[in-house]
Amino acid sequence: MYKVGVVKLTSCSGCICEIAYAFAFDDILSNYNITYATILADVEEMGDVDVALIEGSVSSKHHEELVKAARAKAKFVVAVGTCAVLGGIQSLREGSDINTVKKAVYPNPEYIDVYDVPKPVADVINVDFALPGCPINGDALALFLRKYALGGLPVAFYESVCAACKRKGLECVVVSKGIPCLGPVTNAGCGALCPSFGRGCYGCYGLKYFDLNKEKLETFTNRLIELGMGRDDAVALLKGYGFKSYSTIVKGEKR
Amino acid sequence: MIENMKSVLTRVEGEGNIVIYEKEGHVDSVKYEVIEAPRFFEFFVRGKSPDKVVDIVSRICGICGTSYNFVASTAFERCFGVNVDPEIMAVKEAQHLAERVKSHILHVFHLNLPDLVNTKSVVEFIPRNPQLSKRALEVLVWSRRAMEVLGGRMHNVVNIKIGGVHRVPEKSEVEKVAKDLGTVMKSFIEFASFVLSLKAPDEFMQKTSVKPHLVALYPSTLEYPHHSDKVCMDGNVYSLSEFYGNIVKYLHVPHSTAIHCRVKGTESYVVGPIARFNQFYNRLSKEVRDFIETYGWKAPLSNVLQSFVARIAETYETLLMLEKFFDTYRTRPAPSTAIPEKGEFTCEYAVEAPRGILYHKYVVRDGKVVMGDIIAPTTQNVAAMDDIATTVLRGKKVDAGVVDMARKIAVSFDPCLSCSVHALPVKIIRV
Repeated sequence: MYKVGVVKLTSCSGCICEIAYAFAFDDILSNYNITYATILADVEEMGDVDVALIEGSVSSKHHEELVKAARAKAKFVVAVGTCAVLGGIQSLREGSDINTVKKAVYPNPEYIDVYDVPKPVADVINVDFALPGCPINGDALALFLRKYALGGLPVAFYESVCAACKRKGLECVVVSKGIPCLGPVTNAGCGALCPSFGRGCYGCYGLKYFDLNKEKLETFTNRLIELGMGRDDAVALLKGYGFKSYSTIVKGEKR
Repeated sequence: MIENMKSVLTRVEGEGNIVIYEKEGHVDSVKYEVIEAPRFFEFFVRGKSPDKVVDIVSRICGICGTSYNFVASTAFERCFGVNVDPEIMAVKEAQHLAERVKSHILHVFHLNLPDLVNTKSVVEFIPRNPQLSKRALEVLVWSRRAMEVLGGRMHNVVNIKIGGVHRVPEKSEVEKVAKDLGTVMKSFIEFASFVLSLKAPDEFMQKTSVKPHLVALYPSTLEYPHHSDKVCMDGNVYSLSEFYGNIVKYLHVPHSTAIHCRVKGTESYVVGPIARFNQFYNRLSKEVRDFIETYGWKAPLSNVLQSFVARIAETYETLLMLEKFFDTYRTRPAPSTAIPEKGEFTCEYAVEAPRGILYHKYVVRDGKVVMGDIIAPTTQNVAAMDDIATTVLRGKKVDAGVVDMARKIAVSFDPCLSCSVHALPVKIIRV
């Protein structure tokens, strides 16, 4: 029986629902036991575990301590979801003065203690495996858990949402309808969800990092604008769901 | 340190603490500290176009994100004067209803049940009652499939837009989930019968009369509260702008990253299943009421620890509503909607999210959102949580029983501090 710990940082907890879903399968339940998850059990501190699933982005010193402790107690660490892998939609505050941001929401900003910019988990600790997605695909998590129980790991693949569209035999929404779509620059994994509903992908599996650079991204952004998306909206989607990749690409750093 | 202010908002999800203030060994007061780091959605919806905002705000809550898509899109439809065909609206509503089933089952089974059967967690419960657990999980997995067919996935659905939906699913796709509804209904009844035969742990609650206001949306039709532009508090009806603009005052307290809402700045109120159930019991189907009453329950429920009864009733009612939707379902082309590029609009609306009223207000200027105000159910309930726990526990000797009760009160609200409340770390402070 493998022990699993679920660590929650700053997020909407949507990925935790996907974790709950993966643990509705008999074969997962017979191989794994969740020994720590504040959402599920009255256990206040994580003990030693085989697998730590870390969800959410790091927003405070407290979170840094939490993930470091999780790393020390877990044999294998998985960053779960776009927040944990890339920083999440909350990264959109980057570039604005944090006090202005706080004042926009709270009457007493001095009560609020958060980092200027949230960090992905891999900025703090070494992560063994990452599952992007906002939320993650619960079936992909179940697949990971099945493979891990057999002593292996799922094969990592490097493709965009476009590949999934082709495989599903979907008509390209950009070509056939002129709808702006982030599919070409977005990590696959959702099964081309938005195009299958006749709309453009909005990038929630995060900006892929492996074959993009600043020039390509700028060209692509301009294409979205040509198709009718406002620049502010385009940047918000690329940056909001792909913060870590976005900032690396925009700064021109090679990864 | 507490200040009054006019109209700010905020929502919460995630991390919290129970703080018990102790005086000479006895409880003086109880506060639920919400320490979840805020994500500042109200800040970054500014400058975005309304259609992007509809998708972004669903990220506020991973459990009830569809409520966010739903209310934001409907608020924009109303202020832009977009007419939505009732059948298209029904597809949008059905996604929200499926979410209600998912959220209630997740809460009753995963979070509330351990308190009712005295286990530390559902993980402990499953091997003890594998058959019953299977029934609950069947309902959960079905609600997921329903959301996948109608909205693309179990949360952050991709099929809600201003003007309705992006695509009306094929009848054959919908039939796949519809045909299993009968079996799922049976699974639900089996699980619900077990839950309803349990007693709420109310040894303390019975002795006190804590009576916060009950607030639910006032339905425009004869249906159970779903979405509306009117609010009903203890039987009195208000418009949304009157209630959220004048009646409720917003307090930012140092122990919480969630804004607290209080009627006139002092009195707490409760939104959510118990507020809907107690005020609109007669709007539930007779079938649902008969079922609940078989187990000796009916409105009014006397305290929040009995909220699970309301959740069970609502899940039943919602499954019946979905059955009706499936029965008359037909596909049709999705509408295209133009968003006005010029002009200023104030857009507001509210929906009954699983945990209670979710209110959105936006100002749109020349096609961009310039202001967003979002008042989530938990934001409204935290003050009542503090008040109820303090009233019930004040004067009691601080011991494990007190801590346990404070935890149970929190859990029964199903707060969206990301549900982590099931293991709120406890702090005891001497005053």
